[in-house]
Amino acid sequence: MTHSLPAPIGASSAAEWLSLAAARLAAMPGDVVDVLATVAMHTATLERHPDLRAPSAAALAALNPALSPLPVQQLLLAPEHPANQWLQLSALAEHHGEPVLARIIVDALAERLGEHDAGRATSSGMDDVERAELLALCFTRRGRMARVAGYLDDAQCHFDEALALTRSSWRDARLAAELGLTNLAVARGNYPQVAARCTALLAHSDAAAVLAPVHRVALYQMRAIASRKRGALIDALLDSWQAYDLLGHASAHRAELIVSMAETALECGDVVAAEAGFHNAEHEARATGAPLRVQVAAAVGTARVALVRGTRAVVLSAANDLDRLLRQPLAPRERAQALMTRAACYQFTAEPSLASAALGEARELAERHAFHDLSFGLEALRVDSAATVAAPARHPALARFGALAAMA
Amino acid sequence: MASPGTPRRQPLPATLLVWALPDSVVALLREAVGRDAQLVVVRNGGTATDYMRRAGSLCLVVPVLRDRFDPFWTEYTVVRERFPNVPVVAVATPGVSSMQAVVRLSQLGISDLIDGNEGLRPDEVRAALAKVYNDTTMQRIWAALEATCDEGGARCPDDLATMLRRALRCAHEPLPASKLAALMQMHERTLRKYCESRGLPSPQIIAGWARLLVAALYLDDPGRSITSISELLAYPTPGALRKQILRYTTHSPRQLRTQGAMTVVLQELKQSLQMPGTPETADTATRPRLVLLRSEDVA
Repeated sequence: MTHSLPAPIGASSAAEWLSLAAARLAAMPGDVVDVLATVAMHTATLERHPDLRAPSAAALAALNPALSPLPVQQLLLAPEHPANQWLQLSALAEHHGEPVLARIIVDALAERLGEHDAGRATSSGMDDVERAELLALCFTRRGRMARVAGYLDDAQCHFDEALALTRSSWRDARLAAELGLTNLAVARGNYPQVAARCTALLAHSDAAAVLAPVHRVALYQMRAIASRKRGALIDALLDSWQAYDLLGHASAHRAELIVSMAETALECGDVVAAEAGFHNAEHEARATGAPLRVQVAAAVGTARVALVRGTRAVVLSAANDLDRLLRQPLAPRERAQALMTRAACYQFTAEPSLASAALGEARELAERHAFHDLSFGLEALRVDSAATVAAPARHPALARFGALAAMA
Repeated sequence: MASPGTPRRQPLPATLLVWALPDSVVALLREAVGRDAQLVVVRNGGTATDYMRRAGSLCLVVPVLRDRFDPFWTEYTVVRERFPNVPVVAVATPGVSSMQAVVRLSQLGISDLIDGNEGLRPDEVRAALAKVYNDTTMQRIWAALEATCDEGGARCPDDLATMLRRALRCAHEPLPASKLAALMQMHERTLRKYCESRGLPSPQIIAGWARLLVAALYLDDPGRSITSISELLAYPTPGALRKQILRYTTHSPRQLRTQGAMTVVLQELKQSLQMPGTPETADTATRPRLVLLRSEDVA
């Protein structure tokens, strides 16, 4: 188990969060402050009410422009259901990099769904099946937040709890729990399990009813990661194309997918396609305000390409980008990945003490959060940082990606 | 015992200092607190300071003013710097509040924030004030616990301190382990394993101690009966509270009252937790250890 408390928790109520985050909020752009403070104020109202009620219509109207870019989280749960609206506000807080506020909302919601006192929910006229589904959704959100924060064992507990609540029915919560567990397997570096879970879910007839394109994209993308990590590079690219063709023009996901494909291209030794892909993804991530993790993945990829090319000026520029991102509040996994690549840049510029410090910090993060794949990567980096992969013959899937990346 | 469905009358701060709020909000506050708290309207920082110097259990109620050049802000900032621990409830009202002002007010610390943009409700105001009361109660108990630990050169471990502080904040309600885990933003199973790995008592026991500390604070008020305390803390029956006191301290409520309930409970807690720095005496070594309570015993 992870032997540490979730350190970033600083608040257990909306007002407490506001007091603790106020100094940070004051330095944020005005529109983000408006969104987060509004969410916090309405959460404080939810905390005071013993029963579940929707956020006020005026609040939702004010937050609507901020909510609209978020992907639909639940397909079957009615959008006007109070629980769905609170879950949306929680997702909004997460989207703006405030997982503590997001968690406070989910906890307040779960309490009103009778998490600690079943009588509370029955008095609201909710039936057991609906209550179990909604509570399970809360657990899946908690699981996601714990995974992103690097508390993988805790995330496992939450997803297990969600599955236990929804075992018999394929609805939003069951799917979210299954996807969450698959994502967790990616975070743990358990790639055979990732591949097996993705294949099973894509083939599952009951799951098909609740699998939206966005879910299929996620599954193909996770299977592509698993294939890449296991050396099946062409399988990885084919899965990435499956995801890409389902995606349409949903840009936030597109940048993430292109990063993944560029990583595969780099593993294949196609540096030109990889470089164009990372550049394309970086540009798109910045333009669409994609999450920091996508920006980090693109910057890490650009730096890796620069290291392969061996041009000092390009390496230094990529390292500066990484430094900029490392000053942001990154999730532990992204931070560890950025640090590993930063260490490689330091090695390239012959600064061994700085490289060693960055590696040490990355190792500490990987060990604390049990990121096994990163631990292996760190070991490999220590043993031989100059290992390169020979380029295989160009598969049509790779050629298609090269053409796409070059067009952008 | 309150009949089912009857809302519990949670305690409120003794005095409400209402500053710069419109008359309509003051009237609503008056309706909300009834005769359970004294309501004082202050016009400026000087008067507010005078009251804060004199009054013990009080809460400041202020508006969220959008106009950052309003003289209120200057005076309020001075008052907050002098009395940073006085709880503040902020009320957002239509036309005069903004989210930027909420953040500005929060930088000086707030205990709760009431959205009055769509009308205020007395029960909501009362709930906010009850929360403030819980927070100040928690601070008093926490200060007493720290003082007790300091006497023996002991220190409450940081993780246990965090758990106890969060538990104390919600100790007026039944506090199952799952709720303590949620307050720690963890899954119950993770928290239980964490406590085991650190040699800490189980989450259930920690939550139980938090509830008992609040009960001890009330037991030290001679005017409160065990029945009224059990109602305040939402125990199913006075007997459940009595039973918990006996299990955790091996004293009856009457014995606790005679010897000083808070002092005894703090000592018992310190000894049962074996905080670092506490010498292992023959007395503590032979003391019966707490065992996991059955779920139906847990308040």
